[in-house]
Amino acid sequence: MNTKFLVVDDSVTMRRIVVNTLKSIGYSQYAEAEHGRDALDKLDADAGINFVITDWNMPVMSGLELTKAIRSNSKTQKIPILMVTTRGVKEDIVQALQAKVSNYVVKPFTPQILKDKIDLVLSN
Amino acid sequence: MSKSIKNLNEIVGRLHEVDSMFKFGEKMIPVIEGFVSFITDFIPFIEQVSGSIQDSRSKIPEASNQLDKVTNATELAMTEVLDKIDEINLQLNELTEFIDEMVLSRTKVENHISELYEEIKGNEKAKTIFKKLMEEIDFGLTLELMKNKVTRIMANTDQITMSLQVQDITAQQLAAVNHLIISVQQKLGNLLSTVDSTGLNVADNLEHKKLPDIHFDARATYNPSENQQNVVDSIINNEKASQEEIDKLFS
Repeated sequence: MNTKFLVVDDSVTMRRIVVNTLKSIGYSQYAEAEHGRDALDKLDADAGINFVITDWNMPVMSGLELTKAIRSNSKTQKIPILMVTTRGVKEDIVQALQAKVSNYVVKPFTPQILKDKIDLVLSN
Repeated sequence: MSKSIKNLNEIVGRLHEVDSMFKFGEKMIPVIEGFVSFITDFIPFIEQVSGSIQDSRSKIPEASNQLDKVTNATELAMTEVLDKIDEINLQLNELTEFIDEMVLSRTKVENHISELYEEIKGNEKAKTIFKKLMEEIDFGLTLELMKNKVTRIMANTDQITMSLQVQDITAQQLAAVNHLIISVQQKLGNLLSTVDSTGLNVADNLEHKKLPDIHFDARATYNPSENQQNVVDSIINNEKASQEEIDKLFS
């Protein structure tokens, strides 16, 4: 599979869990970022990244701000973005959809849920 | 003449007013003395209260640091647990490969056994021993059971990994509490500064701890049920459907 993920989360544990899940479902290419700003730098430096999995609540730059920044840049606007967050209320989900996330996973998630969402996003 | 009398009457009236004021003043003096006495007694009380506030306020940074330490310690512990899970998964994968190799090898052995069985067909005693031997070494079922066990252990490690997400959720809850207690410390500091500006020497020398740059979801809860995701999915589907309808209207 040629998908290279960028896993964005300020929690080391969560990055590790997402990466482990990706490995267990057959994806071996990934990069990591601690917050939105860091993610933008990584995207700028590595053109091979073609899928972003991001948390919402992060210092420096949130996942929502990151999504808006990715969508407003012609080089990155088509990259699929999967929001993985604890925020599960309707207002948050609507806000994320308006920012044009590709899909939304609420924590805690199972490996199967993450796989299903990645497959769904990639199939679209 | 009458004008002079009018003026005198006015002066007398004023004197009566002054007299009344003095009489009122005389009555008020004990009240004012009582009030001053009350304030004098009250100052040590305010100082005592502000001392308590200072004491509580001085403990807040310690409590806040303690919460930070809890978050860091649990994150470290989770990393260690994840290291171990990685190790277990690696060994389980090796074990799965080993079992698969054994299954392949078993097919070869079965072919040899069939050949051997053909060779001893005429020998009844050898055939009986051969059947007993086959009952003893029928490891096909064992391999199947082993593989099922490995699959179950792997499912359990996945489950553990999922449960470890609780660390991120509790870290956000602790960050919310931390934010709250630092806000309280700041409010108490402001209160002490206000009291200090009245001339009472109550201001503390503590630094105002800045609110940490941590973004958290104060409503974060650990709910391992998949229902939560189902609710999210239905909201997404409804929202997307609504958006599609809007897009159709404008197309």
